[in-house]
Amino acid sequence: MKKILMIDPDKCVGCRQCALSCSFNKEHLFSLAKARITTLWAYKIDMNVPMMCQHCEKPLCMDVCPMGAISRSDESGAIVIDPDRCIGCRMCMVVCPFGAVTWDEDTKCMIKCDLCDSDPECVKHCLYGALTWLPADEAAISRRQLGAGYLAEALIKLKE
Amino acid sequence: MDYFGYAGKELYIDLTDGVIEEKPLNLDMAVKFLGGMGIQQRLLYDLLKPGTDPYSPENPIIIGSGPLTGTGAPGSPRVMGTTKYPETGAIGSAGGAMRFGFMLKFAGYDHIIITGKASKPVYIKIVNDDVEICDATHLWGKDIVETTENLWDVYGDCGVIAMGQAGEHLGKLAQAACDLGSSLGRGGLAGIMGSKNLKALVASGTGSIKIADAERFKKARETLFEGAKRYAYHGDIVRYGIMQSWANYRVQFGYTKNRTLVPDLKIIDKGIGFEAYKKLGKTAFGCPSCFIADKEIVEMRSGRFKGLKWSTAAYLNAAILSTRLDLKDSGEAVKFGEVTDRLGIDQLGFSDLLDFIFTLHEQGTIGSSDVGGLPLKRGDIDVVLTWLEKTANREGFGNVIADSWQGLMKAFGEDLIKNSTAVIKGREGIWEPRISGLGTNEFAQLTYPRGPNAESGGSGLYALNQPIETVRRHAQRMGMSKEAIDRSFDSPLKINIGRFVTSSEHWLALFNSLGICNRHVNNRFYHIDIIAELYSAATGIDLSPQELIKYSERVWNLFKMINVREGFSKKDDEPPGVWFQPMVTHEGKELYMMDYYKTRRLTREDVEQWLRDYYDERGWNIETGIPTKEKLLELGLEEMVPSLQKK
Repeated sequence: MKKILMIDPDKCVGCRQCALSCSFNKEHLFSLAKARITTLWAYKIDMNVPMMCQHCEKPLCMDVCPMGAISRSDESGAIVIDPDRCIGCRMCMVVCPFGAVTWDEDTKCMIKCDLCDSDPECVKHCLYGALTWLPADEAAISRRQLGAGYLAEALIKLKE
Repeated sequence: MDYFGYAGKELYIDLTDGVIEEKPLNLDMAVKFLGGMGIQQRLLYDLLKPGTDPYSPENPIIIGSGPLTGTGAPGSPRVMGTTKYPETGAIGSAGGAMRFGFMLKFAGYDHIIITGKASKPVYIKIVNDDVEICDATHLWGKDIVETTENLWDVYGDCGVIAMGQAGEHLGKLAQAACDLGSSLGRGGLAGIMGSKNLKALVASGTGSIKIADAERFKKARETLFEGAKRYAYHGDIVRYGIMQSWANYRVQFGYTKNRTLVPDLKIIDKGIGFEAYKKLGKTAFGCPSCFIADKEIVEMRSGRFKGLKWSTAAYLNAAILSTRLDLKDSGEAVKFGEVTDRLGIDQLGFSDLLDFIFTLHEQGTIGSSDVGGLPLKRGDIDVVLTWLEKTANREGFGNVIADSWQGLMKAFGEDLIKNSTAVIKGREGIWEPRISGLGTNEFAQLTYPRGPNAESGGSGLYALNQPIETVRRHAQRMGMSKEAIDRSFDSPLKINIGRFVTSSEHWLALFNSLGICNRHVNNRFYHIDIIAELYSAATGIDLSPQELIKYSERVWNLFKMINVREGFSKKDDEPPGVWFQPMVTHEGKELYMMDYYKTRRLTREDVEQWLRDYYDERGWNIETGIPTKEKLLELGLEEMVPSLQKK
């Protein structure tokens, strides 16, 4: 069964260990700019939001890439960029609704999450449960369970 | 030149003429003094002329962090602020956290050295190498929350240090805040910012922190993560923050009426304590790199302050301190915390000062006319808020409180303050030995060159009733040598606190210099061996655990010497007289100062002996309480010997 990376912003505390772990794994240094995941502090709603590639079923980035540098990995299902083909035109960055593709100044290439060969480093260092790596069907069930929890809470309040 | 661990640059900003200069980090200095507090103290030693008025443009503020900040070392966001502090007149390195130091590293800078005075309100913007002194006229008069949110709006993902009205009015109780999650600079850092017309600092960056030996660093880092994953209380700490230890802290800090009374804690539990806390709305958050986050945004769900939100390092502080003023419930505690943080006032100091004034009134020593007609009514949040506003803005008698105990000494006479408060080096101690016994935190308040404060390294005696085995384990974690352990545990009272505290101080200096958070929940995962691995792997400067401890000792001696140069000596380490007078519990039981294990009552001579043991353990002159020439030479601090000879 294919696994997917689930994000739960409610549990995110904004520690950015995901981003630090990502850049360390990929580049052997620590950098927010070189991380393929980022956490944004949305203070108006008191929420830290982890932002990363959602590995869409219909990836716009893949559609717009003029060089065919973006493809889906057969093994992990991740949308990946071939740096040898990338010309740095940034079209993928423009169309991505999550801002998940970013520019790397040093390599003059676009960079994005590749799910670390199905062993995502960010998940291993998220001690808050904001990032989880789950089989796709379990992920749906877990979201549904969470939703059920919210619904139950609301119903209890209604009864009160 | 490539730097590893360190960002590699320092930024000198003169606010008087607007000159901004970038210099490479002096690697020799970094190697010798580690970073953070160590480097800042060394820089200040050269930059600050002894006897300088803290508020003069010549008093520099140095802000920055250590070589581990910006790396994935867990809990390494520590940002330090070094200056000559107005409340005590001592040079200190205050610690804060959240995003500023972290972002500053990614912008490319280890430290910013700010001197001079701007002609109008400004803030400093650092976005990579785009550094600018910006107009802050629109922010002047705004509180810390408004200022921070304004800058977050403008600069997006950044770190902000901001000050409020208390800082604008040069308050000695004025502290700054980092990203609404950490205070910075107890003792008046924000007042120094105010004297420079510096409202805030912003940093963000897209740079990288290089690691000299990534494999080695990874191994040490993963060991720490494994420890945190195994820790049974991880979930509880994220859920409840340090309120998880309410049962302990309510006792340690549960005193009122100018430290004469231990109130009925059961009453406090109900309205303000853990049960009340659990009813608040809560969003947990943490600093960058923290793997055991315990900060929180709390929200009142009912009562007069329904809907009030407060972003804080800990609800606990306001809860405890508001009990000192007899505030009734969690809503009043949240309001008290929220307003002090907005104005940028030291909650600890303010609540102690106001409690003292209320007590004088209750004893019939002063009346309303002695405090400019301000209301003298304990247990009323509106009265407290009035005093806070007046203090922040230096209005009426608030002008006296804004000067902290120095102000009260002028108003009521030095003797009254000296004889009836726990003031040490111009500031009240927080840890109360008549309740907790004279443990390391309590004793370290005497010897801390900056003046008493909440942080005091580590010891295992942080909480009440810790078994001696825990302390021994802690001693090993801190890298104490076998000889130092033998000397420290050779006491009929189980521990010779004077000797033991020296190691706690080195542990603190190490955390403050490398950039690691010294809060108990983070500190507990660290061991000197791991720190040596992280430091060596990150920087490529190979230091053994023993060498690191020696370097920390050097940092501490430098810290001491820079204050010796200002005139501090043994006379400033004396225990306050009230420690030797009893407190009374609400049930009428008298509490005397005892040792930590409550073996026996302590006399002044006992404390004096521990002070001599402390100096002796440090290799300092036991009569004067200052380092000897031999010690300075041993530590490679030759340049500080002349300051010694002037004494």
